[in-house]
Amino acid sequence: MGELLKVEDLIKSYSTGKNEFKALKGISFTVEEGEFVLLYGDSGSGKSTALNIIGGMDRASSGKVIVYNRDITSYSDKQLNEYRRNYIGFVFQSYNLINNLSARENIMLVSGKDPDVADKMLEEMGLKDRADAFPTELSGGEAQRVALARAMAKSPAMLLCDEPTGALDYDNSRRVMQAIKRLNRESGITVLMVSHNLAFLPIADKVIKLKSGWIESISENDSPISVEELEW
Amino acid sequence: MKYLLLKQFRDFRTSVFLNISVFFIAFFGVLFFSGLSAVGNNIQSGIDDFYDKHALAVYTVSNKISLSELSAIRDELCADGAAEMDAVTLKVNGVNRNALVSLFPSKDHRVNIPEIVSGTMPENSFEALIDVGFAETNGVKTGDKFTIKIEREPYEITIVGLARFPDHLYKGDSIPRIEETCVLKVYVDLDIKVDTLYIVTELDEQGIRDKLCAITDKNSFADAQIFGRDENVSVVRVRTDIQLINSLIAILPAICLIALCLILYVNMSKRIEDESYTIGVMSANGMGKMSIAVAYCLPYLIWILIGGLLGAIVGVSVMPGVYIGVLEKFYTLPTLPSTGTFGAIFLPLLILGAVTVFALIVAIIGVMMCTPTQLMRGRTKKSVKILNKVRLPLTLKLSLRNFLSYKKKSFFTILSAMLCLSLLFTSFLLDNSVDNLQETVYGKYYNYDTTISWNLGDGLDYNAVCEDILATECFDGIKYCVEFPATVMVGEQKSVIVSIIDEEDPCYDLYDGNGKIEFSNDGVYIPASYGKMESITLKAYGIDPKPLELPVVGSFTDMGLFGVIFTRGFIQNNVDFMNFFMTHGAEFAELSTTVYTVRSDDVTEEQARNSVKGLEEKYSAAFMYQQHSVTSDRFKQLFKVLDITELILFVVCGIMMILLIINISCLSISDRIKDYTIFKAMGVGAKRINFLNSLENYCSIIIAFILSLPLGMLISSEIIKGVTFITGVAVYLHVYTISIVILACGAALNAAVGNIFINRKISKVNIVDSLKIKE
Repeated sequence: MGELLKVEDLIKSYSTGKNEFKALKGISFTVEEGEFVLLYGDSGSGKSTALNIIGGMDRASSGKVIVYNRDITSYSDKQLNEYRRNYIGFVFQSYNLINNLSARENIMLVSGKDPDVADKMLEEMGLKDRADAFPTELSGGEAQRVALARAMAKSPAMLLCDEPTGALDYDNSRRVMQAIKRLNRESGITVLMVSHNLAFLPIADKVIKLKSGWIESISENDSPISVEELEW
Repeated sequence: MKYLLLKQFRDFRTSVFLNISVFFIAFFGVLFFSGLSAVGNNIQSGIDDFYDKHALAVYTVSNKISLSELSAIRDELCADGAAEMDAVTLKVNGVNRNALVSLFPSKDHRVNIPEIVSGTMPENSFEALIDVGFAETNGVKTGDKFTIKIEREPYEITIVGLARFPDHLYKGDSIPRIEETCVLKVYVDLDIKVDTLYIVTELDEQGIRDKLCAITDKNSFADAQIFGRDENVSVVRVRTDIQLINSLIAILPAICLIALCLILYVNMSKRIEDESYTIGVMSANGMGKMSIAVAYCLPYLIWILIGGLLGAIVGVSVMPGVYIGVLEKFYTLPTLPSTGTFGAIFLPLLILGAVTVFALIVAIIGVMMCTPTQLMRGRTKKSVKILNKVRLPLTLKLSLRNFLSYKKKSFFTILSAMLCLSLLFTSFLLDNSVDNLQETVYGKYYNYDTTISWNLGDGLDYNAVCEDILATECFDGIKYCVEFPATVMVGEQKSVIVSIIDEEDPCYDLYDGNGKIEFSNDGVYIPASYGKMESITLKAYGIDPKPLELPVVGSFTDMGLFGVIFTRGFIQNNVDFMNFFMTHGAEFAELSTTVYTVRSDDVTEEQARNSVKGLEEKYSAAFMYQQHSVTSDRFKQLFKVLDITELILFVVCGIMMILLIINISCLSISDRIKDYTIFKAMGVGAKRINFLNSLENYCSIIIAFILSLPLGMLISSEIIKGVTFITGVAVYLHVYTISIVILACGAALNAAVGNIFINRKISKVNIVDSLKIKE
């Protein structure tokens, strides 16, 4: 496994009038290909900010984010758009599906014209029968799995998940987590997930704990457990 | 409340386009309404004042009397008399012109008092006043000398003043040809007989007859022809032209205002929908619907007030001038006031204000049907599920669904775009129809290349002149057509031109529903728009018996075109045309003053000029010629009133469309900013997003475009009908015009929506902020 992502001294600060607030105060870590990495921390620790910058949706104030040996912090808007299109699959806490597109069409929006690809993705997510359903007809868990299928439809290098179970109940959270973990294990997709839920720590290969914009600790987990074994 | 208002004013920067739109909506709405109503009011009232101030004759009596009799009448009645000579030929700067010469034997004007613009009133015999409009156009100035013939004797007259004549405001008065006619008032200290009496009195017709008979002891006044002011051809023509403008005014501002109200309604509704989160917060904090409504209404009402008042200032000061400028091509108008009416300024303001308040209150009530929690959380629209199983490009599917998702907005957008486009079409339709008319009139109905006219009053032998004309190499046919102005009662008093045409080989072709009319000699043909009439009563100077009742034997129309032709003449000349085809046409020729000789085939201007020159040398009389092409061009010039309306429509509707396009694109973006952000987060390119949004706007515009065409045709035909009083007018739109409109709309959409607004707006969208994924 090679190094996929290298974050070096990443700083993100926001100016609010005369005050400056630093969401990230210089964090550095690496992610290997196929790893399941959990960014863990309390609210305001900077984990989502880091994920947004790694996903090319936000810009760093300083530092480097090197993906496949290329520093994306120097990318133009157009390059960042291409980066998001070709390398990143993003799963949001609030699903962010297009309301007027069915489950299948939401995936096709990213995957292209072939509905078979979308149907295959939905089948993998256990949503074969829900392909024609619209977002307002889906449960939270179903919607999040459609979002996951959409993120995976273009075979990204990295799957970035921002509190993917944050808006779900226990059963649906478990199903979504199972799907993410399965993708990681079976497809070898690198997953970088943000969560403040301690219960998810045992399933990750690596846990990066953030606190007030700093990395408090990075711990490797040699024997991560499956979601089925997980209790929370 | 205070802080809510403060917020509204601070929001100006974030909703700058909306505020600009509201301003311009009020500006144009009031400009159109107040400006156009000021046009009609000012012209009519200004001219009425001018008539009264300059003692325009209340009655005109046609009868020959001596100067001594006139002197007695002047003492008893407020009266003036003159010897009127129509169609005198006057050589102005080397060009023969028709002239209406009025010989008046008294320097002291009591009736039809000229308004001196420069120079002085005539003091000596053969000093003359000339119409200022004609003088300015043709470079005539005081001190210029002309020769006129009085009873075939030449007299030299000197121009001593340029004036406006209340009895002859129309430059081409009396002569039904499309050219300016010189009006001369000559003071003559000669023992002439006057043939026309001008009287300002409160007596009725019978009272005048009795009085005149008593004063002069002449029974001839018992059946003398008397024309009231309302039967004066000049007065009727001016009034009819003002009616023409008023008929335009009646239609256009109302449609514009409706379109503007719809755009306003869409904007206001959308504004409230966009503010649902804020309204939720305010509601959660205990603010009532009315307080919220007041806070949202106030800034827009201020914009409407500012825009409306500026619109009124511009409208009242500019619009009358534009239309008066057009009328001045045909009239020598007095100085007209430029004031708007209170009602015309405040009615549109009130309507626009009411629409704003109504739209905001309805939208606020609608939004506040949801609980504050729902509003603060953000309302999710129901998915539109059509075309789910249909294989269509995803972008197209999404566009159509989005379009239906926002039904109300789409409906109002289509409606307002439809109205704007229909008015835009109207401008093209009017233009194209006029083009078509010119081609039809001068390509199909008028069968001549050149007209040659001379004055029968010069005592020339008609047949001898005709023979000479035929003898010239370039002429191979001759037809006569005698024309004179008259008034006729068709619903209301109308000024008409009576044409008596060669019965065997007329220079006009007339058509009805069955094709070309074979002329009957038994009576009169009238325009079909006059309706079914058994006979018409004609009043004209010099016609005997008087008034003349003539049987109607048919009406002419060719899908309305022929009526338009004559009505187009009506626009130019302020006259309707009516054609007489009767065996005794020659009798009328004797009574009238101008004869046109008409021929066909290709005659060049040079050939016509040489022929006329030869005739002038031979007969020592003036001959006038006019090329078909020249008349045709002048014919088109007469549509200036429509041209200016077309231009105003084009400019205003163009600006309204741009505002609309900007608005709908901005609204679309704000509606779907989250969708676009998701696309962006997924790496969908800006071009594809732009295309998607453009497609939705194209849907609105294309539907509006399709609907606007018939509406535009309806409005155009109503305008033409209003202008011409004729039904069944053919309204044309050339294919190339449609192409231009489509291209223009497409280009405007692409430029405004695509490149300027959407791309810029989308490129500025911050994914993290928009999707609220910040910690």
